[in-house]
Amino acid sequence: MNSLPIELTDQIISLLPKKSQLSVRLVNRRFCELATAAVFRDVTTYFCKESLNRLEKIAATPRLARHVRSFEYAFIGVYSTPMSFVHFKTVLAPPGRAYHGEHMETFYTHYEEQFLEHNSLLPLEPRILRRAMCAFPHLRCVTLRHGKYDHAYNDESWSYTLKDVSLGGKRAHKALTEALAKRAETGGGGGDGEEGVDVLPLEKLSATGIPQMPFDELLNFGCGVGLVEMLTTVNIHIALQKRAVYARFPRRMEREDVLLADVVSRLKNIVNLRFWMDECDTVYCNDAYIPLFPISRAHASLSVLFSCPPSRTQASSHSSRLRCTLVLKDRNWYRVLHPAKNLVGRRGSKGGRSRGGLKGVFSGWPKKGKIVCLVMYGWVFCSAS
Amino acid sequence: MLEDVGEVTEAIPIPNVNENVLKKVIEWCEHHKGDPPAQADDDSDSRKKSSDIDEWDQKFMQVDQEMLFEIILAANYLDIKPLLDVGCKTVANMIKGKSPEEIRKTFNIQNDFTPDEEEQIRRENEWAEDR
Repeated sequence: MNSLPIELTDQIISLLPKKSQLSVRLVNRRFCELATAAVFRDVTTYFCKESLNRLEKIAATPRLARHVRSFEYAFIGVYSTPMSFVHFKTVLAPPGRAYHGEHMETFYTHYEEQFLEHNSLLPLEPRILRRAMCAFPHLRCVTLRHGKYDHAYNDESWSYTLKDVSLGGKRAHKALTEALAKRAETGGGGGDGEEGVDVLPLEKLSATGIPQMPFDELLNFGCGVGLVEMLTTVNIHIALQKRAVYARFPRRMEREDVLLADVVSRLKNIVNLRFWMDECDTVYCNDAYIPLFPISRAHASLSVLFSCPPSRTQASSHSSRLRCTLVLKDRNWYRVLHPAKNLVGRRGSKGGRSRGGLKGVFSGWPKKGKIVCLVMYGWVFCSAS
Repeated sequence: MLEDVGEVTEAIPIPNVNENVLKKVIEWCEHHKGDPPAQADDDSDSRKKSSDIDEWDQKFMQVDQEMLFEIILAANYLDIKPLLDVGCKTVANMIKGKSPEEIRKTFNIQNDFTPDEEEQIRRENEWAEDR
Protein backbone atom coordinates (compact mmCIF):
# COMPACT_ATOMS: atom_id res chain seq x y z
CA MET A 1 0.00 0.00 0.00
CA ASN A 2 3.04 2.22 0.40
CA SER A 3 3.36 2.14 -3.38
CA LEU A 4 0.17 4.14 -3.83
CA PRO A 5 0.47 7.91 -4.16
CA ILE A 6 -0.92 10.06 -1.36
CA GLU A 7 -4.07 11.10 -3.24
CA LEU A 8 -5.08 7.49 -3.83
CA THR A 9 -4.38 6.45 -0.26
CA ASP A 10 -6.40 9.47 0.81
CA GLN A 11 -9.26 8.35 -1.44
CA ILE A 12 -9.20 4.87 0.08
CA ILE A 13 -9.22 6.26 3.62
CA SER A 14 -12.15 8.52 2.78
CA LEU A 15 -14.18 5.41 1.88
CA LEU A 16 -13.73 3.96 5.35
CA PRO A 17 -16.12 4.36 8.24
CA LYS A 18 -14.81 6.54 11.04
CA LYS A 19 -13.97 3.60 13.27
CA SER A 20 -11.65 2.19 10.62
CA GLN A 21 -10.16 5.61 9.98
CA LEU A 22 -9.29 5.77 13.67
CA SER A 23 -7.57 2.39 13.36
CA VAL A 24 -5.61 3.63 10.34
CA ARG A 25 -4.34 6.54 12.46
CA LEU A 26 -2.62 3.96 14.64
CA VAL A 27 -0.91 2.07 11.82
CA ASN A 28 2.14 4.26 11.35
CA ARG A 29 3.13 7.92 11.00
CA ARG A 30 2.37 8.19 7.29
CA PHE A 31 -1.09 6.68 7.62
CA CYS A 32 -1.72 8.66 10.77
CA GLU A 33 -1.12 11.91 8.90
CA LEU A 34 -3.44 10.88 6.05
CA ALA A 35 -6.22 9.55 8.26
CA THR A 36 -6.07 12.54 10.60
CA ALA A 37 -7.24 14.79 7.79
CA ALA A 38 -10.24 12.52 7.16
CA VAL A 39 -11.08 12.00 10.82
CA PHE A 40 -11.03 15.65 11.84
CA ARG A 41 -12.43 17.12 8.64
CA ASP A 42 -15.96 17.17 10.08
CA VAL A 43 -16.36 17.88 13.78
CA THR A 44 -19.71 17.52 15.50
CA THR A 45 -20.23 18.80 19.00
CA TYR A 46 -23.23 18.34 21.25
CA PHE A 47 -24.28 20.41 24.20
CA CYS A 48 -22.89 18.13 26.88
CA LYS A 49 -19.80 18.23 29.02
CA GLU A 50 -17.97 15.39 27.33
CA SER A 51 -18.54 16.65 23.82
CA LEU A 52 -17.58 20.25 24.59
CA ASN A 53 -14.45 18.99 26.36
CA ARG A 54 -13.49 17.10 23.22
CA LEU A 55 -14.03 20.20 21.12
CA GLU A 56 -11.82 22.17 23.48
CA LYS A 57 -9.05 19.60 23.13
CA ILE A 58 -9.24 19.51 19.33
CA ALA A 59 -9.13 23.30 19.24
CA ALA A 60 -6.10 23.30 21.52
CA THR A 61 -4.18 20.90 19.27
CA PRO A 62 -3.13 22.82 16.13
CA ARG A 63 -2.12 19.74 14.12
CA LEU A 64 -5.72 18.48 14.48
CA ALA A 65 -7.45 21.86 14.34
CA ARG A 66 -5.91 22.70 10.98
CA HIS A 67 -7.81 19.81 9.37
CA VAL A 68 -11.27 20.95 10.47
CA ARG A 69 -13.31 22.07 7.47
CA SER A 70 -16.81 21.60 8.79
CA PHE A 71 -18.17 22.17 12.27
CA GLU A 72 -21.62 21.22 13.45
CA TYR A 73 -23.02 22.20 16.80
CA ALA A 74 -26.21 20.58 18.04
CA PHE A 75 -27.65 22.28 21.03
CA ILE A 76 -31.36 21.75 21.44
CA GLY A 77 -31.85 18.09 20.61
CA VAL A 78 -30.62 17.19 24.05
CA TYR A 79 -33.22 19.38 25.67
CA SER A 80 -36.05 17.22 24.48
CA THR A 81 -35.01 14.64 27.02
CA PRO A 82 -36.25 16.58 30.02
CA MET A 83 -39.53 17.06 28.22
CA SER A 84 -39.85 13.34 27.82
CA PHE A 85 -39.07 13.12 31.47
CA VAL A 86 -41.77 15.65 32.26
CA HIS A 87 -44.17 13.64 30.18
CA PHE A 88 -43.23 10.54 32.09
CA LYS A 89 -43.53 12.29 35.40
CA THR A 90 -46.89 13.90 34.78
CA VAL A 91 -48.64 11.32 32.64
CA LEU A 92 -47.16 7.93 33.42
CA ALA A 93 -46.20 8.49 37.01
CA PRO A 94 -48.03 11.48 38.44
CA PRO A 95 -47.49 12.45 42.08
CA GLY A 96 -49.55 10.37 44.46
CA ARG A 97 -49.55 7.37 42.20
CA ALA A 98 -47.66 4.36 43.44
CA TYR A 99 -45.09 4.22 40.67
CA HIS A 100 -41.91 5.19 42.36
CA GLY A 101 -39.91 2.04 42.13
CA GLU A 102 -36.23 1.60 41.46
CA HIS A 103 -36.55 2.30 37.73
CA MET A 104 -38.38 5.56 38.32
CA GLU A 105 -35.66 6.70 40.67
CA THR A 106 -32.93 5.82 38.19
CA PHE A 107 -34.83 7.58 35.46
CA TYR A 108 -35.36 10.67 37.60
CA THR A 109 -31.76 10.79 38.82
CA HIS A 110 -30.40 10.47 35.30
CA TYR A 111 -32.29 13.49 34.00
CA GLU A 112 -31.78 15.47 37.16
CA GLU A 113 -28.03 15.04 36.64
CA GLN A 114 -28.34 15.93 33.00
CA PHE A 115 -30.12 19.14 33.88
CA LEU A 116 -27.47 20.09 36.39
CA GLU A 117 -24.80 19.39 33.78
CA HIS A 118 -26.55 21.53 31.19
CA ASN A 119 -26.91 24.44 33.54
CA SER A 120 -23.28 24.22 34.62
CA LEU A 121 -22.23 24.29 30.95
CA LEU A 122 -24.15 27.40 30.00
CA PRO A 123 -21.50 29.89 31.16
CA LEU A 124 -18.64 27.83 29.66
CA GLU A 125 -20.18 27.08 26.27
CA PRO A 126 -19.69 30.48 24.58
CA ARG A 127 -16.02 30.62 25.52
CA ILE A 128 -15.36 27.11 24.20
CA LEU A 129 -17.17 27.81 20.94
CA ARG A 130 -15.45 31.14 20.45
CA ARG A 131 -12.04 29.57 20.97
CA ALA A 132 -12.84 26.74 18.60
CA MET A 133 -13.97 29.10 15.85
CA CYS A 134 -10.69 30.96 16.13
CA ALA A 135 -8.64 27.78 16.27
CA PHE A 136 -9.88 26.23 13.02
CA PRO A 137 -7.97 28.11 10.32
CA HIS A 138 -9.49 26.26 7.38
CA LEU A 139 -13.09 26.15 8.54
CA ARG A 140 -15.46 26.28 5.59
CA CYS A 141 -18.83 25.23 6.87
CA VAL A 142 -20.62 25.80 10.16
CA THR A 143 -23.98 24.30 11.02
CA LEU A 144 -25.99 25.06 14.12
CA ARG A 145 -28.43 22.25 14.53
CA HIS A 146 -31.51 22.40 16.65
CA GLY A 147 -33.43 19.38 17.76
CA LYS A 148 -37.13 18.92 17.42
CA TYR A 149 -39.15 20.86 19.89
CA ASP A 150 -41.48 18.80 22.07
CA HIS A 151 -45.04 20.06 21.78
CA ALA A 152 -46.15 18.06 24.79
CA TYR A 153 -44.14 20.21 27.11
CA ASN A 154 -46.38 21.86 29.66
CA ASP A 155 -44.88 21.48 33.08
CA GLU A 156 -44.33 24.70 34.98
CA SER A 157 -41.65 23.29 37.20
CA TRP A 158 -39.32 22.85 34.27
CA SER A 159 -40.00 26.03 32.39
CA TYR A 160 -37.27 28.03 34.08
CA THR A 161 -34.76 25.48 32.96
CA LEU A 162 -35.95 25.45 29.41
CA LYS A 163 -35.84 29.21 29.32
CA ASP A 164 -32.30 29.21 30.62
CA VAL A 165 -31.34 26.61 28.12
CA SER A 166 -32.91 28.55 25.26
CA LEU A 167 -31.03 31.61 26.28
CA GLY A 168 -27.97 29.44 26.47
CA GLY A 169 -28.62 28.56 22.86
CA LYS A 170 -28.72 32.25 22.06
CA ARG A 171 -25.41 32.73 23.78
CA ALA A 172 -23.95 29.86 21.79
CA HIS A 173 -25.15 31.42 18.57
CA LYS A 174 -23.78 34.77 19.59
CA ALA A 175 -20.39 33.36 20.48
CA LEU A 176 -20.14 31.41 17.26
CA THR A 177 -21.32 34.13 15.00
CA GLU A 178 -19.31 36.89 16.62
CA ALA A 179 -16.17 34.88 16.08
CA LEU A 180 -17.15 34.14 12.50
CA ALA A 181 -18.07 37.74 11.80
CA LYS A 182 -14.71 38.83 13.15
CA ARG A 183 -13.04 36.45 10.73
CA ALA A 184 -15.14 37.84 7.92
CA GLU A 185 -14.12 41.39 8.81
CA THR A 186 -10.47 40.55 8.88
CA GLY A 187 -10.59 38.67 5.62
CA GLY A 188 -10.82 35.29 7.26
CA GLY A 189 -8.58 33.04 9.26
CA GLY A 190 -7.70 31.00 6.23
CA GLY A 191 -4.06 31.03 7.12
CA ASP A 192 -2.93 30.76 3.51
CA GLY A 193 -4.16 34.28 2.72
CA GLU A 194 -6.04 33.24 -0.38
CA GLU A 195 -9.27 34.94 0.58
CA GLY A 196 -9.86 38.56 -0.19
CA VAL A 197 -11.40 40.89 2.32
CA ASP A 198 -14.72 40.89 0.53
CA VAL A 199 -15.10 37.13 0.54
CA LEU A 200 -16.20 35.36 3.65
CA PRO A 201 -13.91 32.42 4.23
CA LEU A 202 -16.86 30.23 5.08
CA GLU A 203 -18.67 28.60 2.24
CA LYS A 204 -21.70 27.82 4.29
CA LEU A 205 -23.13 28.91 7.59
CA SER A 206 -26.43 27.35 8.41
CA ALA A 207 -28.85 26.85 11.21
CA THR A 208 -31.24 23.98 10.82
CA GLY A 209 -34.26 22.84 12.70
CA ILE A 210 -35.46 26.16 14.05
CA PRO A 211 -38.53 26.24 11.81
CA GLN A 212 -39.68 23.10 13.57
CA MET A 213 -39.86 25.00 16.81
CA PRO A 214 -43.30 26.49 17.45
CA PHE A 215 -42.79 30.18 17.20
CA ASP A 216 -45.46 31.08 19.76
CA GLU A 217 -43.92 28.77 22.30
CA LEU A 218 -40.60 30.46 21.84
CA LEU A 219 -42.25 33.81 22.31
CA ASN A 220 -43.69 32.58 25.55
CA PHE A 221 -40.21 31.89 26.72
CA GLY A 222 -39.23 35.37 25.75
CA CYS A 223 -36.59 34.40 23.28
CA GLY A 224 -38.37 34.00 19.96
CA VAL A 225 -38.00 37.47 18.58
CA GLY A 226 -34.66 37.89 20.31
CA LEU A 227 -33.36 34.77 18.65
CA VAL A 228 -34.57 35.88 15.26
CA GLU A 229 -33.16 39.34 15.71
CA MET A 230 -29.84 37.96 16.69
CA LEU A 231 -29.69 35.54 13.80
CA THR A 232 -30.67 38.12 11.24
CA THR A 233 -28.26 40.62 12.71
CA VAL A 234 -25.51 38.12 12.44
CA ASN A 235 -26.44 37.23 8.90
CA ILE A 236 -26.46 40.78 7.84
CA HIS A 237 -23.31 41.53 9.70
CA ILE A 238 -21.59 38.76 7.83
CA ALA A 239 -23.20 39.85 4.60
CA LEU A 240 -21.67 43.31 4.91
CA GLN A 241 -19.99 44.34 1.70
CA LYS A 242 -21.68 41.58 -0.16
CA ARG A 243 -23.26 42.39 -3.45
CA ALA A 244 -26.24 40.10 -3.31
CA VAL A 245 -28.86 38.98 -0.89
CA TYR A 246 -31.14 36.04 -1.26
CA ALA A 247 -33.79 35.33 1.34
CA ARG A 248 -36.02 32.35 1.76
CA PHE A 249 -39.08 32.19 3.95
CA PRO A 250 -39.61 29.11 6.08
CA ARG A 251 -42.82 27.16 5.78
CA ARG A 252 -43.97 27.71 9.32
CA MET A 253 -43.18 31.37 9.59
CA GLU A 254 -46.33 33.09 10.73
CA ARG A 255 -44.80 36.37 11.81
CA GLU A 256 -43.10 37.18 8.59
CA ASP A 257 -44.28 40.78 8.72
CA VAL A 258 -42.40 41.35 11.98
CA LEU A 259 -39.35 39.62 10.67
CA LEU A 260 -39.39 41.39 7.37
CA ALA A 261 -39.73 44.79 8.95
CA ASP A 262 -36.76 44.03 11.13
CA VAL A 263 -34.66 42.49 8.42
CA VAL A 264 -35.42 45.12 5.83
CA SER A 265 -34.38 47.91 8.17
CA ARG A 266 -31.12 46.11 8.76
CA LEU A 267 -30.58 45.47 5.09
CA LYS A 268 -30.35 49.18 4.52
CA ASN A 269 -26.95 49.03 6.15
CA ILE A 270 -25.53 46.60 3.65
CA VAL A 271 -23.17 48.36 1.35
CA ASN A 272 -22.65 47.47 -2.27
CA LEU A 273 -25.82 45.43 -2.42
CA ARG A 274 -26.51 44.74 -6.07
CA PHE A 275 -28.86 41.81 -6.02
CA TRP A 276 -31.86 40.91 -3.94
CA MET A 277 -33.94 37.83 -4.25
CA ASP A 278 -36.40 36.17 -1.96
CA GLU A 279 -37.81 32.73 -2.40
CA CYS A 280 -41.37 32.38 -1.25
CA ASP A 281 -42.51 29.11 -2.70
CA THR A 282 -43.37 27.66 0.65
CA VAL A 283 -45.43 30.37 2.28
CA TYR A 284 -47.30 33.53 1.50
CA CYS A 285 -46.57 33.43 -2.16
CA ASN A 286 -49.20 36.07 -2.86
CA ASP A 287 -47.51 38.62 -0.68
CA ALA A 288 -44.02 37.71 -1.67
CA TYR A 289 -43.25 41.07 -3.21
CA ILE A 290 -43.86 43.01 -0.01
CA PRO A 291 -40.20 43.25 1.02
CA LEU A 292 -39.13 44.43 -2.39
CA PHE A 293 -40.46 47.95 -2.01
CA PRO A 294 -38.57 49.12 1.06
CA ILE A 295 -35.43 47.44 -0.17
CA SER A 296 -35.61 49.13 -3.49
CA ARG A 297 -36.05 52.47 -1.75
CA ALA A 298 -33.04 51.77 0.44
CA HIS A 299 -30.84 50.70 -2.43
CA ALA A 300 -31.18 52.87 -5.45
CA SER A 301 -28.19 51.05 -6.93
CA LEU A 302 -29.92 47.68 -7.05
CA SER A 303 -29.34 46.20 -10.46
CA VAL A 304 -31.42 43.10 -9.94
CA LEU A 305 -34.40 42.85 -7.72
CA PHE A 306 -36.56 39.84 -7.87
CA SER A 307 -38.79 37.55 -5.92
CA CYS A 308 -39.91 34.18 -7.10
CA PRO A 309 -41.02 30.67 -6.26
CA PRO A 310 -38.15 28.75 -7.84
CA SER A 311 -38.27 25.34 -9.36
CA ARG A 312 -36.57 23.01 -6.96
CA THR A 313 -35.38 20.78 -9.78
CA GLN A 314 -33.78 23.64 -11.58
CA ALA A 315 -32.31 24.95 -8.38
CA SER A 316 -30.64 21.69 -7.44
CA SER A 317 -29.35 20.89 -10.90
CA HIS A 318 -27.78 24.32 -11.15
CA SER A 319 -26.66 24.64 -7.59
CA SER A 320 -23.10 25.37 -8.66
CA ARG A 321 -24.39 28.47 -10.44
CA LEU A 322 -26.75 29.23 -7.64
CA ARG A 323 -30.16 29.64 -9.17
CA CYS A 324 -29.12 31.94 -11.94
CA THR A 325 -31.25 29.87 -14.31
CA LEU A 326 -34.30 29.43 -12.17
CA VAL A 327 -37.57 28.95 -13.98
CA LEU A 328 -40.87 29.94 -12.42
CA LYS A 329 -43.50 27.27 -12.49
CA ASP A 330 -45.86 28.33 -9.79
CA ARG A 331 -49.07 29.87 -11.11
CA ASN A 332 -48.59 32.85 -8.82
CA TRP A 333 -45.34 33.86 -10.35
CA TYR A 334 -46.78 36.69 -12.41
CA ARG A 335 -48.14 38.25 -9.27
CA VAL A 336 -44.64 38.19 -7.89
CA LEU A 337 -42.82 39.23 -11.03
CA HIS A 338 -45.04 42.16 -11.81
CA PRO A 339 -44.03 44.50 -8.97
CA ALA A 340 -40.40 43.59 -9.40
CA LYS A 341 -40.62 44.45 -13.08
CA ASN A 342 -42.22 47.79 -12.30
CA LEU A 343 -39.61 48.61 -9.74
CA VAL A 344 -36.41 47.88 -11.53
CA GLY A 345 -37.42 47.19 -15.10
CA ARG A 346 -36.50 44.10 -16.99
CA ARG A 347 -33.14 43.43 -18.44
CA GLY A 348 -32.40 41.55 -21.60
CA SER A 349 -35.94 40.72 -22.64
CA LYS A 350 -39.21 42.21 -23.70
CA GLY A 351 -41.29 39.17 -22.88
CA GLY A 352 -43.76 39.96 -20.13
CA ARG A 353 -44.38 36.58 -18.58
CA SER A 354 -42.04 34.52 -20.66
CA ARG A 355 -39.11 32.52 -19.38
CA GLY A 356 -36.92 34.71 -21.51
CA GLY A 357 -38.01 37.69 -19.50
CA LEU A 358 -37.06 35.94 -16.34
CA LYS A 359 -33.66 34.96 -17.67
CA GLY A 360 -33.18 38.59 -18.51
CA VAL A 361 -33.85 39.55 -14.94
CA PHE A 362 -31.21 37.13 -13.83
CA SER A 363 -28.65 38.25 -16.33
CA GLY A 364 -27.01 40.43 -13.71
CA TRP A 365 -25.98 37.41 -11.74
CA PRO A 366 -22.43 36.37 -12.49
CA LYS A 367 -22.01 33.08 -14.30
CA LYS A 368 -18.74 32.36 -12.62
CA GLY A 369 -17.11 33.31 -9.40
CA LYS A 370 -17.21 32.29 -5.80
CA ILE A 371 -20.59 32.04 -4.18
CA VAL A 372 -21.04 32.57 -0.48
CA CYS A 373 -24.26 31.28 0.95
CA LEU A 374 -25.49 31.80 4.48
CA VAL A 375 -28.64 30.07 5.71
CA MET A 376 -30.08 30.90 9.06
CA TYR A 377 -33.60 30.67 10.40
CA GLY A 378 -34.91 30.17 6.94
CA TRP A 379 -33.06 33.20 5.68
CA VAL A 380 -30.46 32.63 3.09
CA PHE A 381 -27.91 35.22 2.18
CA CYS A 382 -25.82 34.61 -0.86
CA SER A 383 -23.20 36.65 -2.57
CA ALA A 384 -20.91 36.24 -5.51
CA SER A 385 -17.39 37.50 -5.56
CA MET B 1 -5.45 10.78 -22.53
CA LEU B 2 -6.57 10.78 -26.14
CA GLU B 3 -7.90 14.29 -25.65
CA ASP B 4 -4.48 15.31 -24.35
CA VAL B 5 -2.50 13.97 -27.29
CA GLY B 6 -5.01 14.92 -29.98
CA GLU B 7 -5.60 12.89 -33.14
CA VAL B 8 -2.83 10.35 -33.72
CA THR B 9 -2.41 7.32 -35.93
CA GLU B 10 0.59 5.76 -34.20
CA ALA B 11 0.48 3.66 -31.06
CA ILE B 12 0.45 5.56 -27.79
CA PRO B 13 3.10 4.30 -25.37
CA ILE B 14 1.90 3.70 -21.82
CA PRO B 15 5.15 2.95 -20.03
CA ASN B 16 3.58 2.96 -16.57
CA VAL B 17 1.38 -0.05 -17.28
CA ASN B 18 2.82 -3.50 -17.89
CA GLU B 19 1.32 -6.15 -20.15
CA ASN B 20 -0.41 -8.24 -17.48
CA VAL B 21 -1.98 -5.22 -15.87
CA LEU B 22 -3.08 -3.81 -19.20
CA LYS B 23 -4.73 -7.14 -20.04
CA LYS B 24 -6.68 -6.95 -16.78
CA VAL B 25 -7.67 -3.35 -17.46
CA ILE B 26 -8.85 -4.25 -20.97
CA GLU B 27 -10.78 -7.23 -19.57
CA TRP B 28 -12.52 -4.89 -17.12
CA CYS B 29 -13.26 -2.35 -19.84
CA GLU B 30 -14.66 -5.05 -22.13
CA HIS B 31 -17.01 -6.23 -19.43
CA HIS B 32 -18.19 -2.73 -18.59
CA LYS B 33 -18.32 -1.25 -22.07
CA GLY B 34 -22.15 -1.25 -22.02
CA ASP B 35 -22.40 0.54 -18.66
CA PRO B 36 -24.05 3.95 -18.67
CA PRO B 37 -21.49 6.73 -18.28
CA ALA B 38 -21.06 7.97 -14.72
CA GLN B 39 -22.04 11.54 -13.94
CA ALA B 40 -19.05 13.87 -13.84
CA ASP B 41 -19.98 15.21 -10.42
CA ASP B 42 -21.33 11.93 -9.08
CA ASP B 43 -20.77 12.15 -5.38
CA SER B 44 -23.58 9.87 -4.33
CA ASP B 45 -23.58 7.55 -1.34
CA SER B 46 -23.12 4.48 -3.52
CA ARG B 47 -19.83 5.87 -4.77
CA LYS B 48 -18.73 6.46 -1.22
CA LYS B 49 -19.82 3.09 0.13
CA SER B 50 -16.91 0.73 -0.04
CA SER B 51 -19.19 -2.31 0.24
CA ASP B 52 -20.99 -1.39 -2.96
CA ILE B 53 -19.04 -3.50 -5.46
CA ASP B 54 -20.86 -5.74 -7.91
CA GLU B 55 -20.19 -9.47 -7.92
CA TRP B 56 -18.23 -9.59 -11.15
CA ASP B 57 -15.97 -6.77 -9.99
CA GLN B 58 -15.41 -8.49 -6.66
CA LYS B 59 -14.23 -11.63 -8.46
CA PHE B 60 -12.19 -9.53 -10.87
CA MET B 61 -10.38 -7.92 -7.98
CA GLN B 62 -9.50 -11.24 -6.36
CA VAL B 63 -5.83 -10.92 -7.28
CA ASP B 64 -2.67 -10.64 -5.25
CA GLN B 65 -1.98 -7.33 -3.56
CA GLU B 66 0.74 -6.31 -5.98
CA MET B 67 -1.60 -6.75 -8.95
CA LEU B 68 -4.41 -4.97 -7.13
CA PHE B 69 -2.27 -1.89 -6.54
CA GLU B 70 -0.96 -2.06 -10.12
CA ILE B 71 -4.56 -2.05 -11.40
CA ILE B 72 -5.37 0.94 -9.21
CA LEU B 73 -2.29 2.80 -10.45
CA ALA B 74 -3.10 1.93 -14.05
CA ALA B 75 -6.72 3.04 -13.66
CA ASN B 76 -5.47 6.29 -12.20
CA TYR B 77 -2.90 6.76 -14.98
CA LEU B 78 -5.37 5.90 -17.72
CA ASP B 79 -8.08 7.95 -16.01
CA ILE B 80 -10.61 5.12 -15.79
CA LYS B 81 -12.57 6.45 -12.85
CA PRO B 82 -15.03 3.55 -12.33
CA LEU B 83 -12.17 1.04 -12.24
CA LEU B 84 -10.25 3.27 -9.87
CA ASP B 85 -13.32 3.41 -7.62
CA VAL B 86 -13.65 -0.38 -7.61
CA GLY B 87 -9.96 -0.75 -6.78
CA CYS B 88 -10.09 1.76 -3.95
CA LYS B 89 -13.25 0.18 -2.55
CA THR B 90 -11.58 -3.23 -2.63
CA VAL B 91 -8.62 -1.94 -0.61
CA ALA B 92 -10.99 -0.12 1.76
CA ASN B 93 -12.82 -3.41 2.32
CA MET B 94 -9.52 -5.05 3.17
CA ILE B 95 -8.97 -2.44 5.90
CA LYS B 96 -12.50 -2.26 7.25
CA GLY B 97 -13.05 -3.89 10.64
CA LYS B 98 -9.37 -4.61 11.21
CA SER B 99 -7.28 -3.51 14.17
CA PRO B 100 -4.17 -1.39 13.54
CA GLU B 101 -2.01 -4.46 14.01
CA GLU B 102 -4.08 -6.48 11.54
CA ILE B 103 -3.85 -3.66 8.99
CA ARG B 104 -0.06 -3.58 9.38
CA LYS B 105 0.06 -7.34 8.92
CA THR B 106 -2.23 -7.30 5.87
CA PHE B 107 -0.21 -4.67 4.04
CA ASN B 108 3.18 -5.42 5.53
CA ILE B 109 3.55 -2.00 7.12
CA GLN B 110 6.10 -1.17 9.80
CA ASN B 111 4.96 0.53 12.97
CA ASP B 112 7.24 3.54 13.41
CA PHE B 113 5.45 5.07 16.40
CA THR B 114 7.14 5.44 19.77
CA PRO B 115 4.97 4.17 22.66
CA ASP B 116 4.33 7.78 23.72
CA GLU B 117 3.24 8.79 20.24
CA GLU B 118 0.93 5.81 20.01
CA GLU B 119 -0.62 6.68 23.36
CA GLN B 120 -1.15 10.26 22.19
CA ILE B 121 -2.88 9.08 19.00
CA ARG B 122 -5.15 6.84 21.04
CA ARG B 123 -6.11 9.81 23.23
CA GLU B 124 -6.81 11.96 20.15
CA ASN B 125 -8.94 9.19 18.68
CA GLU B 126 -11.26 9.51 21.65
CA TRP B 127 -11.79 13.20 20.84
CA ALA B 128 -12.88 12.35 17.33
CA GLU B 129 -15.82 10.23 18.33
CA ASP B 130 -19.21 11.87 17.80
CA ARG B 131 -21.02 11.14 21.01
